Amino acid sequence: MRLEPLEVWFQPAPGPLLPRLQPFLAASAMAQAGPRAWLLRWAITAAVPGRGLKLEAVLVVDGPETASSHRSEPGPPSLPVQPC
Amino acid sequence: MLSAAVAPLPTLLVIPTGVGCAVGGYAGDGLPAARLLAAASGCLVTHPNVMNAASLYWSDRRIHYVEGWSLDRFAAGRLALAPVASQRVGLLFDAAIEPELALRHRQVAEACRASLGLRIGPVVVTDAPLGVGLRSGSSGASWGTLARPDALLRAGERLLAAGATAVAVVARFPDDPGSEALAAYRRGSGVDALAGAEAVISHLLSRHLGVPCAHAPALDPLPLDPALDPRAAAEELGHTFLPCVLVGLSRAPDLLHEPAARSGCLHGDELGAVVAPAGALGGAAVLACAERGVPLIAVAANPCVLEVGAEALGLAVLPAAGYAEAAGLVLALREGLDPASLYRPLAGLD
Repeated sequence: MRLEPLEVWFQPAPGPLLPRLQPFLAASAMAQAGPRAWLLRWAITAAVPGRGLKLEAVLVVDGPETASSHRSEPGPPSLPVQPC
Repeated sequence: MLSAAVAPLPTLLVIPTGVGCAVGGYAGDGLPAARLLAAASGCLVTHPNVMNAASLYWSDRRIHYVEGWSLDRFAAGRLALAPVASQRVGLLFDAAIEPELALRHRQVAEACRASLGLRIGPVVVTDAPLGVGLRSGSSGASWGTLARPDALLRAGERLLAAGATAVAVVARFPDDPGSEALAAYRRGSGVDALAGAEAVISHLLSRHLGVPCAHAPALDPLPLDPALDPRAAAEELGHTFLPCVLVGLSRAPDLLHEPAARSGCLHGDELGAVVAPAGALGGAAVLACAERGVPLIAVAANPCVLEVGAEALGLAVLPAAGYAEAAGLVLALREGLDPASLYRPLAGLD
C-alpha cells in the first residue's frame, strides 16, 4: 500500500458537479495509478476561467507496488482540502 | 401536548484543513464559531480541525465530533451518526515516538482518566515507524505522506480487537523549529504545515476501521516566541496535543451505514444548513449538501489560500460577512424565517 498525489483539471458543465466529478476522479486515479487506486481525499482547489476546475487528491494504491511507486521523487504535489 | 420549543436545525460546519483559514486554520480557533453555531442551531456537526485546541477543548452535547472521512459520507447520506454516552478510546502510538515523549502522552491519557473520567485504553504501538512526511502544494496548502500506512491499519485493527470503540492516533511528526513556514504559522500568517498529513492519517484509519478516529501529532516543544499569535497559542500550553482529541472522541457519535435504524440517529438528509468559508466551497461535504438543496451559508470573513467560490461552482449561497452573521442566518432558518427577508434590497415576487 502506498499514497500518491493526483492533480487533474475538469471542465465543468451546467448542472450538478458531483455526479460527473466523482466518476471523473475515479477514472483519473485508475489512469494514473492502476486499478488498485482509490481516492482518500479530494477537493477543488482552483477555478480558472478558460481552463476549468483544478482537482487535487491523495490516492491510496493497494497491493503490490507499481512501476510509478519506484520513482525517486513523488509526483506533482497535491493539496487535499477536506476536513480532518 | 405540543411543545413550544423550536426544534434543532442540524447544521454542518466545515473549515477545511491545511489551507490557512483565518478562522479555524490554527489551533482550534474555530471553536468559538462552533459554539455559537451550536447555540443557534441546537445541533452542530463538525470535524476535529475545528474543535481541537491541543490542551484546550470544549465539550457540548449539541456538537457532534466527526472526522473528515466520515463527515463526507454523512453529508452524502451514506453514514448516520448515533450519539452515545461515551466511547472507549483506544490509543495508537507510532513506534517512532521516543520513550520520554511517549510517556508524556501516556500521562495525558492517565490525566484524562483520573480528572475527566474518560474511558481510555487499550494502548497499542505500531509494529513499524509510520514515517510521516510533510508536503506543501503549489498553492501553499499542506498535505502529507506515510511510509508505512499498513502499520497504521494493523495497529488500528489490534485496538478494535482489544475493545476500543474509537481511536486516538499519535504519530511522530518531523520537528522543524527553524522553518519559515512554522514561524509564519506561529505569527498568524501561514498554513498549518502539519494539518494535511494529520488528515491523511485520520482518513485512512477512519475508512479502514469505521469508528471515530482523530489524530494528535507528537513533537518536541518549541522555543518561546514573544510574537506568538493568539490563534496558535493553544499549542504552546503543554507537552502534547492529545487532550482535545481524547475529549472529542470520548463522546463522538457511532458511525452507522445507511439505512440505519437505531433510534436517535442523525441522518444526512436531516441537515438544515451547511456553513463554510466563501472561498473554499469545493470539498465533497459542501458540494453534496449544496446539490441536495441544503442551504449553504458562505462566510466571507474567513479567507484562505484557495479561491473556490460559489460563482465558479454554480452554487447558490446565503452570504454571511462572518460567523456571527452566519449564526443569525442559521437561527432564521431554524425559526422558519425566509433569509431573503433579512437582506436589502428585497426583490419583489416574480
